[in-house]
This record gives sequence, structure tokens and C-alpha cells, in this order.
Amino acid sequence: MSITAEKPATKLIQIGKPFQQSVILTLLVVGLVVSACISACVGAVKISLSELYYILLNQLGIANQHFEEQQQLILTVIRLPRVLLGVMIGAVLGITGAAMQGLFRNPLADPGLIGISSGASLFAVSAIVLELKILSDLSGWVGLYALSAFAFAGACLATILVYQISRSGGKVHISTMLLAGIAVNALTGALTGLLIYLANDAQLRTITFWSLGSLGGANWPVVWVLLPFVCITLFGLPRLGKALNAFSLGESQAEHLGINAASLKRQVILFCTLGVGVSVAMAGLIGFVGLVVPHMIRLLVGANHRLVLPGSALLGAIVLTLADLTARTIVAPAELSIGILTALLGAPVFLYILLKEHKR
Amino acid sequence: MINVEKVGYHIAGRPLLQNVSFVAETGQLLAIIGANGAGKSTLLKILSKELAPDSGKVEMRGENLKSIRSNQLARFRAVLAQNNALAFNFNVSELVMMGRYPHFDGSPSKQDHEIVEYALQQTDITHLRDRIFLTLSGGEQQRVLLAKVLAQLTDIEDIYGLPHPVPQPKYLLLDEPITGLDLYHQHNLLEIIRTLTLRNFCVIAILHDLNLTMQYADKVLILNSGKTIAFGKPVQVMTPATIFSAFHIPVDIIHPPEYTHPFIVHSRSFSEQPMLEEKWGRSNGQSQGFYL
Repeated sequence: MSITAEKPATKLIQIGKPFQQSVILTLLVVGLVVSACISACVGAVKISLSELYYILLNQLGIANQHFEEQQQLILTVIRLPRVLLGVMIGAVLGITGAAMQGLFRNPLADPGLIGISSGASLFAVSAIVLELKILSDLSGWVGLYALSAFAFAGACLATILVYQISRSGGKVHISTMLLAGIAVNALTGALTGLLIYLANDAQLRTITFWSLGSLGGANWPVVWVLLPFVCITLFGLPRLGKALNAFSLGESQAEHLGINAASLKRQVILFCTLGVGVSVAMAGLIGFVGLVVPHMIRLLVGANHRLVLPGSALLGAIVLTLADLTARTIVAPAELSIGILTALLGAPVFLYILLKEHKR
Repeated sequence: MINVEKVGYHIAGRPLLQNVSFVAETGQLLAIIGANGAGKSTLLKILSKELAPDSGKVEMRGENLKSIRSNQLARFRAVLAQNNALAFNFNVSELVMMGRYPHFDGSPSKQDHEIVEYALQQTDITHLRDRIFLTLSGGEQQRVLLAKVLAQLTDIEDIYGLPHPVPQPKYLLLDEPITGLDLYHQHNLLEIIRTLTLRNFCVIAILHDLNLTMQYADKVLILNSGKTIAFGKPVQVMTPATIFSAFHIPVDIIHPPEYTHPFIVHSRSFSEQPMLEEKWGRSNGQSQGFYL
């Protein structure tokens, strides 16, 4: 089997080398630590890096140095939970975006596609506008998070609806799911719009604030509520990297490689709904991170989901941490909605990637 | 070997396959030929466990296909499908590595990398290893996908010529593997497949080119409207009569003495009936093949 020497590839594309890939992932980890530290230090009350270091050691009971009460309080009560919230939600949005794009075999997919965000919106808005009795009746810890719980329930219900519609003969059809998602998104969007008609001025303000997203509600209880969901998503999805790679050849070809497509679909949807549902519930709608971050990662490490998934989680966390830093400092003492910033930065980046891909 | 017994498949009451039976031996290339809509792809999908037959059964390695788990099956059976729409910018070596997925959990081992390297060499695409799959030409893409199925079915022992601890037959199913390839690469691919049958692979391929079928196939199954017209050695069962009933086109079969195999030519108008004798041919003894 000899072949007359073909012209060797003139343009070798230098991505996808294992060495470079591990270097890129390491750089992302470093980048995340750096941006988290910056975000914790910068703000109305400035904290220096060494102060940050010793306050953290103090908190862990390792060192015992005295600091100004104010700085210590600001850091532990306000900044730290907010940074952690940003890291967690950014990581979830990034990784679920990558997983959804893999599942739908479409680089334009994002978690919102299957109704997670719109379902959460509808339920959150109805809770706000109808001033549901149940919300005011609940007191204490539960009452505080009733809105979030309600939004989470909405996210799950919408996804289950989309999932069930796309099931026929024991099989989930991805293309039907996409269309069902569009329909459910339109329907919930319309219902949300109707509810907004009923809202008074104060409620409108709350709705707007919620639908543009904000990490302003960060505190430790929020972090603890979010943590288990985030962990499930962040540990669950990277295991599916191999299967998602095979899936990009198409469903039947993935099956030929021994991949259980039905189980893959179930797992991706479950992990995405849990992670994104609770994120949207806690911080409102934050657009573009789930869409753009996986694209940026693919430019760096190639298409392999085994790298794209963890890479998207890391970059998503970096992006959201820095976006939140900007959101709370750029118009200080007021605060910009983080969703505005992510869209403002995300859209041009996305367009740049599109143009660049087009030229290749 | 693959044992197909009385397989039938219906969709919405319309029969796509009826009572199809044959045996595909290891070490042989079995070609499936037939007109469009004859049921070739449906049959291949049943053989690859993508569809379950409504009646009859398929046995692979003496086991009913139904009872072999997909991840188990993927270790000794590979499918080269016709429609290859890859969703992302995978490069060639990553794509070929997917062929190793049934063989490892987590990360690929050193042996998996060696096998990928071997598959790239066998298909002459080592120089393409870092290229993005979607930027390749159709012929190059087909060779990459062939390398992928090759990687799926190759054991480390095959590379070093070592004896297998437990020798197991491998199965390769190909859906129109040479469609869209130029003449050189058509023969190249079929030559690669021939080397695989020499390694005791059982290969089943849907082919459209009757002369290549005549030249390369060990057995041929002719389908028409979901039914078997003929099954046997190409020289014995590919006759003007069977080809007319499968493709509704009159052909002559000529066998120039300097060639080892006959040729099928169509040179007359559609309305004519086929000649029932071979020109220059040996008289056609009916031995192993059968006609229906």
C-alpha cells in the first residue's frame, strides 16, 4: 500500500499539542487565583495583598495578627462570599455552555436553549408580581431564599417540559428538543411579559434588576446553598468529555463507539439544570458567558471536550470574577448589573471569534 | 463470522427487508449491492445494532447481537458510516483516537497512542495528523475515518506481530466506503480492506461499483426491494440476469483472457433484454452460489 508522496501539509495548525494544553490549563488556574485575589482586594475599601494573606490566615486560625476591624469585616462578610459566588457561577455557566454545545453539536447552543433561564424568569417574575402569599408566610432562612427556590423550581419545570416533549418511543430527539426549547422559551417569555404589565413601579425595578443579573446578593448562606449544586455540576460534567467527543460525530456513530447516548443526554441535561437553575435563581440572568467562553477555550486548546470542559469552567470563573469587579467599581458607589457587562464585552468578542473562524 | 437468519424489518407497515439470510465468513469481504432503496443501508444498520430486526436474528461470534452490550460490541466491531458531519474542529489525531474510546476509561495509554500512530501510517495520513478534520478534502476525510475504525479494531499485538492471548475475530461494516473517492483512492481503500481480511477480519461493505465488487469481493449479496436476489461468489452470482433484476439495466459480462476476473459493461439501450451467456466467458457452472 504505497502512496506517491502527497504534498505535505503546508499550514500546520499548532494547537492541540498535549504539552501546550496542560500549560494552558495551568495558566488558567493561575489566572483564576490572581483575578480572585484582585477582586477581593479592590473596592471602596482597599485591602493590600499582604493584608488579604494574613486576614485569610487569621480566619483559618493559623496566624494571629491584628488588623483594622473594618478591613477584616469587609473582606470576610462582603468581599469573600461575593468573589466565591462569582467564581462558582462563572464556572457553572462556562462548563454548562460547553456541555450544551457538545450535546446539541452546535456552537450556538447555551443552557438557556432548553428553557432553564426562561423558566426561572417566569417563576421569579410571577413570585415578585403576584406577591405570592407563600413567600410572605415563610419566615427566616427559608423565606429569605423563597424567591430563589421558586426560580429554581421554574428552571427545573421548564427543562422537564422540554425534555418530555422531545421524547418519543423511548428516545430523546435532540433536534426536537431544540425546537421545543425555542417554543417553551417563547411561551414563558410571553407569560413573563404579561406579568410585567401587572407590575407596579417597585416591582418593575426588582424584575429589571433580577433579569440583568447581579452578584449583589452574595453572603455566606447563599454560598453554602450554591456549593453542593456547583460541585455536582463541576465534577459530573468533565467525566462526560470522552462521550461528548464521540457525540460530535453524531448520535449513531457515538453508539458505534460504545457510548450510551441516552444516558449521556440525561446526564448533561441533569447537571446543566441543577447548576444553571440554582445559579440563575441566586444571581439572575447572566448572559453570554455560557456562549462565548467555550469558544474562547476552543481557540486555545482545540475541540477536545476533555480539555474544553475544565477549561471553560476556569475561564468562565475568571471572566465572571473580573466582570463583577468591574460592575461594582466602575460606577461606584452605585453598581452596574453584571449581565449588562457580560453582554457588552461578550458580544464583540463573539463577533471577533466568528470573523476569525470565517477566515480560517 | 456473522450469521444472518431470516431477518425482516418493517417501517409503518412497509417491508424494507424480508427474509434475508446469509453467512459472512471471517477473512472475507462481503459486498452488498442493489439499487437505491433496495434495503442495503437498513441491513447494515441492523448488522451494526442501530436497528433491531422485527423478525429473524443476527449472530456475531456465535452470540445473538441483541444480547451483546454496545460497549462490549464496540471493542470488536467498527462501523464506517456514510454521513460524517463532525460538529467541532477536531484535529486528525484526536479523531483517530476516538477509535480507541471503547478500549480505555479516563486517559489513553501509551499503547493507545501507538495504535493511533499505526493506523495513521496504514492509511498514509501521518502528514495530516495535526490538521483540522473539516479543512481536509473528501478523500482525505474518508481516509481519516478509515484510520479511526482501524484504530478501533487493532490490538497492540497486531502491530508487533505477536500472537494474541485470545484470538478474536474482528468485524468491520462499511457503508459505501468508496463513494466520492477518486479512482486511485478507491483501489487504495479496497486494498487496505483486503489486507484486513488477510488479518482474518470479517468485512461487510455496501458497494455501488459492480466491477470493483467483481474484483475485490469474496462474496456478494444482491438485494432488490428488501429481498435477496442472489448470494455467493461474484463470478458465479453476478450474471446479466441477476443484475437486470436488481438494477433493471441490461449488461454484458465480458472476460478478456488476460484478466483474472470478468467485467460488467453496459453498452446497449435500456429496452433490450440482457444476454444470458457470458461473452468469451467460461461456461458458468453453478456451484456454491444460489439464485432466487
